[in-house]
Amino acid sequence: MIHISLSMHLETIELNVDLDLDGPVTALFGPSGVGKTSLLEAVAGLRRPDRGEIRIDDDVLFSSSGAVSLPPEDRLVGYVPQDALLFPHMSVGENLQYGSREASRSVPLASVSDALEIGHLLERDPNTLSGGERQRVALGRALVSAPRLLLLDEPLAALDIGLKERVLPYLDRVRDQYGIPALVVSHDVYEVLTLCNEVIVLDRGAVVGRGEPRTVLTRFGEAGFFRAPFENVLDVRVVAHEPDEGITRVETPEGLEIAIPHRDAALGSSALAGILAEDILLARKRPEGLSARNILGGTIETIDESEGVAMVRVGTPEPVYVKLTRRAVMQLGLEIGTKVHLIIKTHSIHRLDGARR
Amino acid sequence: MPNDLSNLVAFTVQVALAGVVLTLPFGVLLGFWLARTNRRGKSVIETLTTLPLVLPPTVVGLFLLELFGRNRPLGRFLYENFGLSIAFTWRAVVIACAVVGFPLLVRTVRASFEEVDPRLEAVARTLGKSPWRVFVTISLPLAFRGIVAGFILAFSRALGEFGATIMVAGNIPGETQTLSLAIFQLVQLGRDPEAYRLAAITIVIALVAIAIADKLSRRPRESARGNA
Repeated sequence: MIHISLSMHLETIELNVDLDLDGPVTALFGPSGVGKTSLLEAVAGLRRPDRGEIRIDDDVLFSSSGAVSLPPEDRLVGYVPQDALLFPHMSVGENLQYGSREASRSVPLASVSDALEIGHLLERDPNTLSGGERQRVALGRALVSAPRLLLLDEPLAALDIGLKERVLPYLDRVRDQYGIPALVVSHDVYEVLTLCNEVIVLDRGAVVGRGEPRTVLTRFGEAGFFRAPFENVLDVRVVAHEPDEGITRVETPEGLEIAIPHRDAALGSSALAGILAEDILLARKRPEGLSARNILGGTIETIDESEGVAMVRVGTPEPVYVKLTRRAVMQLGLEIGTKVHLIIKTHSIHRLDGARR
Repeated sequence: MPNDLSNLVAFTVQVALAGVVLTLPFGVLLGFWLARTNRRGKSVIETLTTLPLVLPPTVVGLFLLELFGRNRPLGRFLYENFGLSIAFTWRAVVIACAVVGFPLLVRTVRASFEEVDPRLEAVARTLGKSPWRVFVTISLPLAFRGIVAGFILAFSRALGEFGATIMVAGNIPGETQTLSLAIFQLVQLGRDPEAYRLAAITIVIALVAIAIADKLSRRPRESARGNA
């Protein structure tokens, strides 16, 4: 078990957390600038908290009361920064070897390079790697040092959607094969849903939500989401392909049918469909003559307002959140029970393969 | 080349090299410290290291004479305890070279360490390496080109040293006379053609230094692989 309790004064906010993580993979979720990276750095020993205690099992890494602060090299904590930070003067192989420790507690390089499929890159100069390869090498470098805990800072943020889908399975594999507990900073709903057992939502330096990712991230309710882009995530099943028209039809468990950009996937296979709350239009009357392929009828179930932003939950019956300005809510006269239509462009819907939960 | 001419060239290169080599470790460590620290004493240290660069060399020489003269505390201490004469010997020339080259060395080295992302060092720490190991395996190789550049710059400055040297070491042919001092003397004696010959030699040495620097400062990985 990993215990992190600390307070730390950052540039604009005060970070205050008290967490016990059971893992294996925990996400730190929230908008940027709320202290997620600082928290990772504190655990890695790269930044000193003002007060608190950090423990892995019974081993104290930091304790302000006990005046303990292990240097980073003695913490056995692997850190994979957002931009990989491979050593530019070493080959990929040398990068991977850099953290290897004495044989007794080292993870063999061969096993790591197999798992991450980077064996063919060992001779390469890191500056010539693609973004996805860099991330895999950075992850491999941390693994070879045989850490007791992995800290991943937005491992996929630097990658475009297509690459993400190609790197996620490797993270999955590492989780299953090495069983090293991990703390993953993310503001990507997909990443969290596919990779993590638990999510901790941070906003302005405090924990504002915590729990099973599915429950926490698909049910809007925490104040933190007003500032983060909120993404609706629907479990869907592929029901039809219309490649000539460029769409694939999918269906939610409640029987709601939507059109997403065409992808090759077996009929009947399941996937996640994501729609940003701010990408959805809301109309009181069913509009006509629109190019958008998805017009869904529903009833407003809740309206949450904060800082001029309103989050409207529409039961379709699958709950879908729509982000509006307060002005829009007032002008349309929206209230609970109002019948509305949701308009969603096909290309506003992202789909992720390999979702398992 | 006549014997005393080759002696003169060899002496000049040797004292300049010795001065810079002796200060290199300090220059590298100080440059690294200045690039990484935010402590309050930093600006004081910075100013002190820059001073020899902005002061007239004769003033630097005057201070050195004040320190190392036979009748000054440090000079007397060295002489009485170790039998070392400093002022008006070759040792004073080396010290003058070291002092005038040092600011250029430190400034260049510092700039090259500032180019190294400190987060690379942080990641290396999390991979189990002590600060010293990280310095040797990450910071130093990545700043290598800048260190070479700083070395050459300091060496070139030391090679042409005149003002401080003449103050603290005099202009004693065969003992403390360097190329630039000899050129000065020859012009004063109206022996201009000989002065020009020495000037030409100085230019050749400087060009060779630049060529060596250029070769050394290629990134090791590039030269080893011949691509990338």
